[in-house]
Amino acid sequence: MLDKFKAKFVEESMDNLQDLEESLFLLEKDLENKELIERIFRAMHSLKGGGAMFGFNHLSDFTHHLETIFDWVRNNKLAVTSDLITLTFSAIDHIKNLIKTGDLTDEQELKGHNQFILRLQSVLSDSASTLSVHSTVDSQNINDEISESKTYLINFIPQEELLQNGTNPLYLLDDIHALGEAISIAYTHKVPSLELIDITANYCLWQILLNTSESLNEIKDVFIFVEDECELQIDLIADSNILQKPECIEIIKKARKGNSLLKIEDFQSLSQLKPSSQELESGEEKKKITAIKEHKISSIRVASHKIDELVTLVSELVTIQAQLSLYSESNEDPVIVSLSENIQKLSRQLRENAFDISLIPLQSELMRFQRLVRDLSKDQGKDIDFVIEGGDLELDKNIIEHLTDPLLHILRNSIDHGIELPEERISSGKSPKGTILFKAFHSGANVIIEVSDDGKGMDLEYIRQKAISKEIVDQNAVLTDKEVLDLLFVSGFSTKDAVSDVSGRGVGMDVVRRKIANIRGEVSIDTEKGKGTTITIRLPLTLSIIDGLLVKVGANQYVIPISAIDKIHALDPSQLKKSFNNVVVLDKEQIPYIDLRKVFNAPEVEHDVIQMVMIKAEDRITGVIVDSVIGEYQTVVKPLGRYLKKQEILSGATIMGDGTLAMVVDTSRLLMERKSKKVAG
Amino acid sequence: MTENFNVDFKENNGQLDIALSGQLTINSIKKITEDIKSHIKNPKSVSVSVKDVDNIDLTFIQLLQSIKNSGKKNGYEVSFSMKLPEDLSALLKNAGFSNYIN
Amino acid sequence: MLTEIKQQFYKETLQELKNISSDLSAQVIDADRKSLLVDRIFSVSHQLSGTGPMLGFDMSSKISRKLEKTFYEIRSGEKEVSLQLLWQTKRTIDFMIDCITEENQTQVPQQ
Repeated sequence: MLDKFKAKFVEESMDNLQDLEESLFLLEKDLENKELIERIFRAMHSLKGGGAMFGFNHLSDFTHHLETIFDWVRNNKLAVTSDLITLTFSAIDHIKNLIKTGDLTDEQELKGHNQFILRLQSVLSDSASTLSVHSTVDSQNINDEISESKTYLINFIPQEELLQNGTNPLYLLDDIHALGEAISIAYTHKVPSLELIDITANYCLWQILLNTSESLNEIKDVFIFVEDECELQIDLIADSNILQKPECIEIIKKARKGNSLLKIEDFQSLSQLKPSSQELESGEEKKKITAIKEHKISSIRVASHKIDELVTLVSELVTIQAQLSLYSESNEDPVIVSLSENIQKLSRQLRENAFDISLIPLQSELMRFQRLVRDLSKDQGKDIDFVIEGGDLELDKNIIEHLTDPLLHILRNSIDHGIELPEERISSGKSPKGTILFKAFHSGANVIIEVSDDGKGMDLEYIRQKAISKEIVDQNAVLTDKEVLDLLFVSGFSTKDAVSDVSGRGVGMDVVRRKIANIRGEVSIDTEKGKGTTITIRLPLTLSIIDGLLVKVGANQYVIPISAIDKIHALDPSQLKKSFNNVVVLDKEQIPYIDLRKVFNAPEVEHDVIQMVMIKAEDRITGVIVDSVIGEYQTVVKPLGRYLKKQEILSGATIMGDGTLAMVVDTSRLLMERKSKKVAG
Repeated sequence: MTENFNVDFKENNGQLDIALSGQLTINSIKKITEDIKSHIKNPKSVSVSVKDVDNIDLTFIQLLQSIKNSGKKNGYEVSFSMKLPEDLSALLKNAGFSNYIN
Repeated sequence: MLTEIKQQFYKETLQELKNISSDLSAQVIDADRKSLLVDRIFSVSHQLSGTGPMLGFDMSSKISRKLEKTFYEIRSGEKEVSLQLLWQTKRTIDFMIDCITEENQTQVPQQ
């Protein structure tokens, strides 16, 4: 039981820390921003309190000192400096550690912890000597006393839940009376008879005529804690006290008798107000009420495994639905066919909905990148502006989880090897401050993430020479620029000893590509010597369901993702026979092709027409030959078990309507496989 | 927990007298209501008298109104008499319920 | 363990609510004390609305959320503190005191 709370605390604290880091970044740009300081203070305060409650004593103690520092800051006893921000950043790292591991037991760690606390304390003692206490100038608002009193008509229409939420409206009405002279009209006509009444619900509403010299704000404040639970409208109806006028008393009597609500117009003859100002005031009030109403809960927190579960269930539903539509087609019962179509429509909507829910904004990870850029560039004496575009873009959380490491790697490369030192940059005619642009955007069914720097770029010739020396390519091989850059992704091109390598990138790019490929993404590099480098990552929107083309190769069925397919061509078998080096000529264009029958060791059967699926990748078309095309198929991809991991060109499996298995072809791996064979030999 | 309110019923020839006292607020209102509902069977008239009140709130006023509405619907007379301490009486008056007090 | 946490939380919260309520009853609240009071009200309502639900103080945390929201706005300068507001705050705090006491009594002790 307690563990559940603890886990919740840990999760919330991590959120809190993220907010804290974000605020610190902003504060660094705007050192005196009160709101940010307050946010930081609050985050620390909650960490401290929660920590103590859930047995994180070191955490609580540590944040207490940090909280004190920011308490001084917000009370103008201490100024925010860049040093303080740096100290706070490292304190946040320490806090993260304390949350993950709980109280420290290792002696060495404890020593470090205590030293850190001393450092925090010294911040306060250092500043205490130069302390200048600003007395907070209180803006005690002495109301501009209006000598003349005004008369207002207040409409107070509470919701049914008002009483259950603990409000006693009688008190509020009493408080209104305390503001001046008032007459309340209670409307009870909505109270049901005994058989129907929910006795704790509120059925009453009120109109109050109030003559007061207090300000409108003072009146509104009576309802401050019920504003979400009622409709409230306050209209000025007269610039003087009209309550005792006989006409007014008559109007009120009529309203009480007839249970008919008072309208502002009823008082027109009594008031000397110009209608325009009257409208203005009530209009403003209405606007405020709607603004409050819109302020309701707009998001809820759900455990991520629940979302995984939902997605799995939806995936199952999609599978069953596929079975149903196969059955209905073979059955030709019109009722079943139309039912099946409806279910298909619904499950498609449901699927889209569920996936939408499982998307989270990239923003959540960006903080780590910002930290990396900030810390590394400070370490290396580089001045780097980290610009983020499209941080609000949303991605499947499973993709984001796998994306962080490769992206950190890419950024690290940019800082280590891309961006030059300020003096170097000046001498090559650039501004001393380098820029790394992180850009995320949608492109069709894909998400593109670009990381570009304006650093020194890569030396292609150097890469080529290195590949030759490592015997990755033949000395005489003619390579395009793109092919040279692709060498960076070949495993073994760069090793750990290449870290100091001046030519730059390549450090672990093979790992980056592999990790991105695991989430069905692609990586490419563009570089210009002296100008900079751009790494582009292309990702699918989601992992678990794809629209595919079902094809047959030999006795087996395979699924090729629709997103990769350009079109389907029918070939005359003779064209293939004439082909040389696996290239066919179509519309005068040379198209390389892969025969899946050979890849999967299926017997070659003679067909009248050969089906070739054209796959588009990296601006190139490659044909894939299959025995037959069955049709489009929406499919749930299940990860392959370990025993099939070796089959790299398959990314997963899917269960067909009739219970048989179909493999999902990973087109980018398929093409890569083909290319690497060519490069190698 | 001992009840901090009191409901007494007296029936005489179709005339139902209900006497209420104590805490007449949201915390006890459900029990009071159930009690009253179970006693109002088919009366000719109902007379509710309220005195020795410790506290009162809107739920009780709504209960009185509901009894009145039921009477209108089912054809019996409903009358109230309510004696309240000064502070509670002022509270109800300020809330626009002076017609319930006498 | 949980019961201990709960009891401590209850005791501390109740005490702070009572202190605030009695401070709010003061005839005159000067500027310094007012800003301190605003902080304390925010703090206790923030604490109660965040932790209360975990410990079963559902109603009182629900109410404290109203205070938290309002006093957050006050602290960030979006809202002024009027006498009426302090008065309504006292009403709300007094109700919270009743509420949290009752919730503490009626809850079945957990495991």
